[in-house]
Amino acid sequence: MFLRLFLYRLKSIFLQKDLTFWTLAFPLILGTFFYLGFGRLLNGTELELNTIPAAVVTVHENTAFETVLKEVEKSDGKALFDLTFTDEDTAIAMLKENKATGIFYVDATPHLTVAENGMEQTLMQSFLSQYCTQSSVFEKIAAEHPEKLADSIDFLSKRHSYGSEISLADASYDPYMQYFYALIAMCCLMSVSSGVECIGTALANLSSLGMRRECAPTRKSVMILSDLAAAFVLQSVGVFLLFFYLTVILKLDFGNRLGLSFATALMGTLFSLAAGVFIGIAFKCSMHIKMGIALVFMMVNSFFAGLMAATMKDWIEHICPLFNRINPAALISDSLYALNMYPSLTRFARNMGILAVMTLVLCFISGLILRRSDYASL
Amino acid sequence: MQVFKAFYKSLRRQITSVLLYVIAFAAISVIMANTMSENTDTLFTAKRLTVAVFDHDNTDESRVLYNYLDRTQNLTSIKDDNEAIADELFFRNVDYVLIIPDGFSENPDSLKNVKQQNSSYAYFLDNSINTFLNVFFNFRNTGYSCDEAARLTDDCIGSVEEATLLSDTRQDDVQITVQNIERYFHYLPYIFIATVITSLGGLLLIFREKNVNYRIRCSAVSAVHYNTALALACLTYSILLWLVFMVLALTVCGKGLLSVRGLMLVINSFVFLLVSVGITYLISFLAYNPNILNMWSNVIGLCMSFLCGVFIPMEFLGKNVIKAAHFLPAYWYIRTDELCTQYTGTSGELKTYTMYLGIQLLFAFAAFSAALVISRYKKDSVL
Repeated sequence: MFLRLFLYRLKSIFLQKDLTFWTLAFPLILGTFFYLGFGRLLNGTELELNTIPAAVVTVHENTAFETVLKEVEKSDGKALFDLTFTDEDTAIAMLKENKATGIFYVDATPHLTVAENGMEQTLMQSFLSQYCTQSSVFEKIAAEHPEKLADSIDFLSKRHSYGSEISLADASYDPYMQYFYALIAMCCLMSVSSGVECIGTALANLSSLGMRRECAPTRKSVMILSDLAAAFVLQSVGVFLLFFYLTVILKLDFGNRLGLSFATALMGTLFSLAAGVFIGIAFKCSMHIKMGIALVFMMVNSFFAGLMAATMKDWIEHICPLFNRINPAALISDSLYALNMYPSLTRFARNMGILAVMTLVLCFISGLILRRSDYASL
Repeated sequence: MQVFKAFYKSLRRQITSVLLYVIAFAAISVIMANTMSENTDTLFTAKRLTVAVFDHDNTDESRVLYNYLDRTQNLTSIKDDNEAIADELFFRNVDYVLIIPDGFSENPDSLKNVKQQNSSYAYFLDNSINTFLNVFFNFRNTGYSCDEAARLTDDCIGSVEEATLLSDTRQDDVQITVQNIERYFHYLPYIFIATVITSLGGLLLIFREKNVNYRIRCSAVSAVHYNTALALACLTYSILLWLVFMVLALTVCGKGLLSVRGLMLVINSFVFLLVSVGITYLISFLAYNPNILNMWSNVIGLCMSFLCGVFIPMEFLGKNVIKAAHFLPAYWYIRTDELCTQYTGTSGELKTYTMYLGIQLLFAFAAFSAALVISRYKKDSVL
């Protein structure tokens, strides 16, 4: 009976072509747009800089600094700064009118004034720090070892980067992958609405189809489990397609434990179905409101797992770490991160354990509410 | 007015789900406004992190690096084991782990680090270590001893002055709480699209339901009258929604909103609301199911936000992505938002501001027009 119900439910799901299409295509569409937005950052491509407009005010003559300012170039060979040499009042006016990003004061020790924080202002400060540090270095070397000055200039101009970030699991790691982990978590949580729908079509107080099915002699548990199994198959296909698309087509690196990553997503899907069933049973309201609760559950958990802002999970970890331990989206994205970064499976196992326990608790409570409820008449 | 009244009757029946969406997304917008904070009073402030250093090299050079970190950070001892390091990072007992491998003095590139996920201070520490080592090894190559090179490196790095923030750059009478205002209005495109599509879209789906739609078309109400009444109902509902978010803005941003810049941001948000309503009106003809409507809201909301500089700053997006973003209304919202936050009162800026608002209104008009064309097509294809 279970198999028969399962197959018919699967057939009816796949016959709803629009819904099936959206369930499978939605994660792929989001993944594509994420890749388009992050693509350059993921490949470690150098950011293209615009020429920065800067005002220059001479306090005391410093020819070396002025020369460096004029000659410093970007990687494409164009000048880094678009300089306007002027007096202080005009420079401040330019800064206030946003015609200059900052004011360089040419002095014995050059300094910088800016109007606000930003990437261009950070670049200007970084340039100034580098200049001041290097000119101090060259002054000392010129005074004590003038024969080494040329080598010193050559060495410092290369601006060497020492060392690299490593993954403790000997896999490569990119910080922007965190958004894709959160995306996978959100796709798993989409199953919540499938869980609510399964209950909607099984209970007499929620739909006319539910009424007819309650009249049937089939046990409620067999009916609901077969519906959930069919929904799980559809969601699993969606998750598999997403992993395939991200790893094979977009060539994103999920580490060398892809099997466990896929298992994480399946566990997340199971939890979401259980949560959907619980929402469908526990809240005494219309189906419309239950679906609203399911959507809010998905979006809020995904938001706190860092789908929209990468630092959100970090902020929650400081304020209320317990929430990250029970937020299913955070658990899924954290597991994917742990599989990539850490050699041991302890953290992964801990997260999966919490998810499994929450799933069992939700199933148990749902079973308690549903069991032995019957209608005298429909 | 019957269509108008029917809309609000439906709203009353679905008020719980509508309030659910509005409260959830309002809470998200407030949290976003308050948490994406950077200190704007001082630039590039380095923070002392809790750092663990494993020195496997044990040479003069590695000890110099160790001493530099000891002076500038809070050093801590943890077990030298991958699993222990992973746990300490996970429980935030340590922010940054530096591994100085054997052979570092001959090959400084072999330095390794593990740090907290997405911590800008940890990346800043990377930069500081690079600067220190560049200068230090430069002095060593020149012939200075380790101790002398370390001393000279400290002197040179200490000679850098921090940038000064120009105070009083704002021409407004009221001191603006820049951080909260900028961030609150910066994330509004996603909030508006998600809230309007889910709440208003859900109400419009009632009118798109096949049998209801047939009965309306059989009625004496003309299509023009019907569409006008429905559009008016959508508009009034959206204005109420917008007022809720503006009252929230006043709570979050304080008196800073009551300024020229604040008013410009408010007007910009209203224009984008019209765009959101237009998109929702269009989507309501394409989605027949609340599930599909939710997926549309996520696709449009998230994708537009990622591609148009809402969640990722525009300077990090590729040129082609920015070119493509010109065809999305959220891009123009962000451009207007940036203009408002830097507005200094020149007529040129006001002209540009008006132009950007006009572009957004064109998008709203295009969305409404497309919706009317689709409704006409659906009507003809059935009858």
